[in-house]
Amino acid sequence: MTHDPNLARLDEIPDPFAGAAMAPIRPPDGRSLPSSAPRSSVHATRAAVLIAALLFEVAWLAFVERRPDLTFASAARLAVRCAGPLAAAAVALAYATRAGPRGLGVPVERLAIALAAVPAAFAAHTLVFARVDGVDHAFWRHVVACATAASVLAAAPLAAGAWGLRHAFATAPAWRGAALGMACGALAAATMSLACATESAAHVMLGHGVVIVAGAVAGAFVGRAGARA
Amino acid sequence: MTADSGLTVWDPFGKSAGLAFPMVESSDKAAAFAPVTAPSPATPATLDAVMDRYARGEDAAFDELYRRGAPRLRGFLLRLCGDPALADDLTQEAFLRVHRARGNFAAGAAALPWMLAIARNAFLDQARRVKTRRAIGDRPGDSRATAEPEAPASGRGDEVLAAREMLDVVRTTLDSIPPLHREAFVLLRFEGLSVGEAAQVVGATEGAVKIRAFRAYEAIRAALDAGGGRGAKRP
Repeated sequence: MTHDPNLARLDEIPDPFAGAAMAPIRPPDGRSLPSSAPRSSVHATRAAVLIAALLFEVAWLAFVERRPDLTFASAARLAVRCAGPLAAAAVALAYATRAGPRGLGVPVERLAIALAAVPAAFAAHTLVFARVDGVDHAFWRHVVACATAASVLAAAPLAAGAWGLRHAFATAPAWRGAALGMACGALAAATMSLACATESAAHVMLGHGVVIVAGAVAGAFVGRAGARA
Repeated sequence: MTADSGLTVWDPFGKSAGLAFPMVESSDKAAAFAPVTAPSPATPATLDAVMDRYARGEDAAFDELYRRGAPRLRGFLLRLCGDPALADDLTQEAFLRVHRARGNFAAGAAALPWMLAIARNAFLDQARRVKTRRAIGDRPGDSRATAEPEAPASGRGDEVLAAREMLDVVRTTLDSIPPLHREAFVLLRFEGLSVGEAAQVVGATEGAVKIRAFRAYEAIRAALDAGGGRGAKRP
């Protein structure tokens, strides 16, 4: 439809429930309300969840897996490799959690743009800063190993985030959950850039980056099931 | 108007309507055709302030929040589901959800759209449960006690009957159109939300909300023109 509907004409329609809507309101049930956290507790919980998620990534690098050249590789090069995914994670997290102009979150149109832009930015960053190599015989084995590790690195923050944001999304829970999942996927991709020394663009995109998209899909389900108000 | 509970109940379609009802002279005509800017005691600033106090942890604000917000939520839910008893239950469920989510209410935000969004979630969950029950063959019968359309209380008998028929056509058509169209129409026409607010409440784009609401209007207009509401005013 290309024309703009004339919404003033809606006023032609009478309200069939005008009288019923004025009926007496039943008082709240006598049962006691369950406990619920006030705003300050919610903010504290979210800060704790964010810190826990970052500590989990650091612990992974400390105790599970890190690239062999981590201690002597160029700090600038490592920072550049991390910066792209970290920035993507920060943007996606902001879109998932920002209150927006009316307190109902970021509008759906802008969420959709962000969900398309974050993986595209990661891919562009990878193509600019990673090496373009051929595919060797161990390519898919390494990709699967890294994708599995990245999935774990994204799943734990996503679970924690879903807990920290329970009942938080009054509107568009799937969209906002997808943004949360994408943030967790991008965080995992950033961690993988410090855990895996392979710098082939194809490996980084598939082994480290696919979790960004997978995280968005998982986050959409998590948001709808667990974070909806 | 005072409820039996002792609560002062908001008159959402109060005495300010200046539009002409085509058939019947009565105060209720104003109710049916009231513009969405009708005044209400739940003025946004007040409801926002009470919700903000409650979100900050002031438990005592719940009673005031309920007193101010419940009429708005109940009216919205009634227009969505058409069943006063169900609207009552959903209002209670919505307030339980508001209580659970209160810490997520952003400082400085508008309370009404946020509460309407939560009420909509409660309605959608209930509709989904009903659909699931029907899908597995549990048909308890149509126990839905639909609200009797509000006909003007005074006026000549044939006029009252015609007005009642017209409102019945509107109610029946609202009930038969897709829920997405219905909620967009209700939010814009009866709840007084802007297109932007309604779009955020239903989680859709502004363009989609405009089109859904207008489709609902077209369906109701067509039903009225087909015979049920020949007297409804046209521009």
